[in-house]
Amino acid sequence: MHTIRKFFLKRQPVFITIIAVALAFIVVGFILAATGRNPFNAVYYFVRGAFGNVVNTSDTISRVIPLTIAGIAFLIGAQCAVFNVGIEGQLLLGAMASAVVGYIVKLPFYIHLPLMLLAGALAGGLYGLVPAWLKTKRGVNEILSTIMLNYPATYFTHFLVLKVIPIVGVVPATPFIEDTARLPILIEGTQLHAGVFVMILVVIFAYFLLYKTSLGYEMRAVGYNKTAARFHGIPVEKRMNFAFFLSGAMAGLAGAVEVAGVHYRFLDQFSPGYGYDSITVALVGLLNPFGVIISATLFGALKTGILEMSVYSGIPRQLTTLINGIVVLCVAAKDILGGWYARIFRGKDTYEAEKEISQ
Amino acid sequence: MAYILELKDICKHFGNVLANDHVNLQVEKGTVHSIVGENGAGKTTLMNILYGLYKQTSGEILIDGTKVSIESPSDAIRLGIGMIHQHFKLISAMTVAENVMLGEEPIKGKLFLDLKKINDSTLELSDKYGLAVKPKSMVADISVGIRQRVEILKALYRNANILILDEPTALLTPQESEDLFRIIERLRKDGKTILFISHKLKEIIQISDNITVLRDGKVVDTVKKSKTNEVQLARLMIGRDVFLKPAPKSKKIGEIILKVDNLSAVNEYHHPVLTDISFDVRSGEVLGVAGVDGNGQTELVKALIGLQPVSKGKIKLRDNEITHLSVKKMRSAGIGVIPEDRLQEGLVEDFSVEENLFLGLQRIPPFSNGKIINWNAVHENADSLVKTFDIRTPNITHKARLLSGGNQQKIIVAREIFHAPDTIIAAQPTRGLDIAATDFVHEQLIKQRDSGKAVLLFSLSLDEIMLLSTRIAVIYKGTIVAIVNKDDVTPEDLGLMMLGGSYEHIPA
Repeated sequence: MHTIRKFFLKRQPVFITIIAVALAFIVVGFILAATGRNPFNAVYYFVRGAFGNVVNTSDTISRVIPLTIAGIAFLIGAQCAVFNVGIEGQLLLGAMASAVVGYIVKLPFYIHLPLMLLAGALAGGLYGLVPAWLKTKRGVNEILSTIMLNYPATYFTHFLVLKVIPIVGVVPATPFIEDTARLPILIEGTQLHAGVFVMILVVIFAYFLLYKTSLGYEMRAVGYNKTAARFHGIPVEKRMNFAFFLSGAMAGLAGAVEVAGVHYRFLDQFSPGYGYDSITVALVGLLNPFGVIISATLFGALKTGILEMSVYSGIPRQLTTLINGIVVLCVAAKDILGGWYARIFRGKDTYEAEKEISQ
Repeated sequence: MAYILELKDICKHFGNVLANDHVNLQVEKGTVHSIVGENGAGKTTLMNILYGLYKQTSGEILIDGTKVSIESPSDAIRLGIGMIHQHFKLISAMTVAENVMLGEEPIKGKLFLDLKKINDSTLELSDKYGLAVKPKSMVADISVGIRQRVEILKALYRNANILILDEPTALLTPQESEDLFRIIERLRKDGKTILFISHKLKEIIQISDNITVLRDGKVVDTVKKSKTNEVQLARLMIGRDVFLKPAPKSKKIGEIILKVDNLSAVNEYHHPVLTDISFDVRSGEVLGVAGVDGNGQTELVKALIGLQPVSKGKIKLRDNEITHLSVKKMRSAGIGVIPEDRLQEGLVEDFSVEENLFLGLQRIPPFSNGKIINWNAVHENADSLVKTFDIRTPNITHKARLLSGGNQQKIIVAREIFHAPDTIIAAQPTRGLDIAATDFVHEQLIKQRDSGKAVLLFSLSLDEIMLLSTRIAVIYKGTIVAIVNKDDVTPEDLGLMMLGGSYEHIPA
């Protein structure tokens, strides 16, 4: 009994998040039932839509890729006290830069593909340095600056595909990128592309950086307590600037991977808000690189599962937004659950008791 | 004799831990009754039971001879019990009077607050007990000492007859503490009963009528103030004799290690905060810096580790000038620091114990090759420091936030001392610690001194300065007014100099 308690207590944040997500689904179920639909039926179509067969699963994974990479972008910033809510803008600029590199030059694939991905990361990273400068040199709150900087990026790319780059087809877009700049499709007839390997590398990279290197240790120290970091000789502003750059670069990379793996060009308004979702993904993933994959899978599945659900059970697609919203609400309010959780696994006053024991 | 408050056989279990073990307590009306004990002795638990925050597992509470049941703080308030918590529960964006009235606001008509009445009654109460609080000041703008008085006012406004003060002096300067004691005296004269929780023996002796000593959740003894002394109390609290006696003399004083020459600095508004400070610290000695809080100590510590820009003067470590170096370079040149604010400056609370034990050392061997952290070395270091310095933690991956103040301080002391370079700057190293932990920190500092390091000790406590120092520098208004040998001065001399009084400079 004791060990079971200890197990659940130690992983309290994880389990509370899971409970919160489950609660969100229960709430949604009630809403469905209230509108006269069978929630269990809906769940069936939802799961089938997200993971029912190879094609659906592949489609889900192809959504998980940008969500994970963008989620890592937010995570890297947040771990170093940088709240980058400008990921959408950085992602768009990254996508544009990579698309341009993708169609303008002709190179062998082993240079072209890395180059176009790098161009995307660089564009996002450089754009991330704008709020970095504003924050560390001018003291501008980065939540405000980054959210505002999403607009210039959106309209700048919009302007490029409408006015600068000659339109080839009917939709505003850049020309298609060369084959040498494309991430190959892994399973014929699906959307699953080799970007999944980029995603895995990004997750491992983030984990390694934050938990295995001195630099990452310093970034986390800054994230938790700037005063202490400064007292112990960590250059706080430098680390934050780096976090801005890296966060932007990951966002740009997410955009580049979308171009290289899914659209093969910069398609105006191609992102269904991956940059904004990334914040939720990272937070639900408890700012842990591997947690981000899991939560990105949830949100990716939401996007694909709802499609099938709406076709077969007549539930409107707009429900995705609702479900998303309810999940976010539940996860944001999950600390309310903390008290109940603690009472189940600890007994009432144990937090104080633990303090007393440790004294 | 009838007691205003009586506790009978109070027990409190937390899981398997017995925090209060058959506690019996009798408090006479109109007295100051102190509850003393080390951290974790069960003082705060007992008071929380009395205030309705916890429910006792067994036992009875009697008020004025009648058995009562206290289920919540509102029950306690109704029974005339008020509690002033160690960490204040005030709303800083409101005025003093608004805070005092909060929850019990006088209403004008049906909708409006009676602001005039709010301010008037606050002022009246404040005057009655000599609290000197201005009802209309914003809480954000007033000092810690005054905030505490607002908390006292809150309790008085709710007609408290029994006031519980939980370690009220922990955050106060010595001057503010004196003021508080005067207020307590006045409350007592007015017939209020005070329960005073503390582990500072000196102040307990100063203000109490009766003293109850708790150890490991049990009452060890209840004594009259007139029949006890600090040494006896300390023995009762700890269960053994303690070190708190003057440190043995420096054995071997060697060459100058840290030398500061005409150091001056200004703050962000260009006001001078340090003026022409000169001193040196030798190997094998403790230089104590005595002074009233706010006379430049904080800035001097920061200047010595590179956090406070220096406008004039030099800092030399052995033969190297380190004046304008970055924090990182100054620290790696050989300065270790125990910062005065351990939660903000000394630790990353959300880091684990082991992560905290190499903070600042993350780029040097054995902890890393400059880039990649060697976690094995980190684990080993943590294991050995936890053992050597007796840091009480369930394991080395436990978050520092969850440890007690004493154990958090041990982490800092362990890290700075173990890897310590030539010089250790200890700023308020025992603030808020209980006797055993204080004793421990003192012992460690003396050990470092005897191993040939230079120790610079900043303390607001004259006792601590007198206990540990070889020589004493007195800082006043940002300048060193005297440097004297410890044996040549009395605490009274020092007190005078700290307040700006002149004293014949004794060459040290």
